[in-house]
Amino acid sequence: METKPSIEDQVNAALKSAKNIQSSELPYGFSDKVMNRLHARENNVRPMFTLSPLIRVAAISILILINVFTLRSVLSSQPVQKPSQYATIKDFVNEYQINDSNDEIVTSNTPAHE
Amino acid sequence: MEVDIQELKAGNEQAFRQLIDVYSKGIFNLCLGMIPNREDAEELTQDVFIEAFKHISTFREGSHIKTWLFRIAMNKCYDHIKYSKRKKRHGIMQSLFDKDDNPIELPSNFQHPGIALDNQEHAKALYGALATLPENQHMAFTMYEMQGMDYKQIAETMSVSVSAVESLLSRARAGLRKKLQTYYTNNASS
Repeated sequence: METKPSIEDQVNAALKSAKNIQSSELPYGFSDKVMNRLHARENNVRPMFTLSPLIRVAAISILILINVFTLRSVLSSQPVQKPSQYATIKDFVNEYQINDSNDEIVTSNTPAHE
Repeated sequence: MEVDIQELKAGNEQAFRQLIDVYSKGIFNLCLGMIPNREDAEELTQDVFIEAFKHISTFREGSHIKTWLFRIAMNKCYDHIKYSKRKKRHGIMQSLFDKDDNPIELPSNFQHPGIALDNQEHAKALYGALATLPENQHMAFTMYEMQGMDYKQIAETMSVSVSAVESLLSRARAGLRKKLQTYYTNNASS
């Protein structure tokens, strides 16, 4: 009569099963597979990625140049403060040809009722 | 067969092929010990060599290339396990609140070419129990019991002391026994 193995027997059999595991072989052509993956990796490297430090330097230089030109153009387009062309109030009056009555008001310091 | 490290560092393709030929089987079996699925283990083994090729310049002369490769494999396996656990649990938050007494879950995509048919059921239960252990205990157990590595080799690969390896193995065995007892008891009663 066949008896059911005890729990301890089953536990021991499971632990012992580690020792009975056979060494397994890799499929034929494994090294080729690895080499193909390596070559694929090398070919997938984008030139943009390898050139990135160069591109970064170029981009920064262009930005600096744009900034410099912008600043220079902004500074050069600002209107230059011209010295006042009217040396005296008389010159101003002559320029706008204010009439005599107005001229009197402008130049007179005395009150009108005197 | 020794692999010329200088040639590897110089980017010699032939030397790299030689490295793959010498160490791929050991790494594949280590990965299978951690992840019992042929396809996943093969892909991880490929990743190990690609990583090795990328970082061969950082390999220190005087160290053993096998230990270095196994360490890369160990980290790749840890990453893979973490990724699958996260995917399975739909988020990292749940893993933070996981209890230590989580039950054995038999691996769903179990496909280990080195396990005989009559050993499949026990091996599945063992792998299920191993998956519940902390990764370093799982790794130490795999290296010692499945790969036949000695304490010193394991210690070098895992960058721990020999006594730490002994402790990891003893805790792994105790943890496995407890999990398996629960698993078989539940299966017997159901």
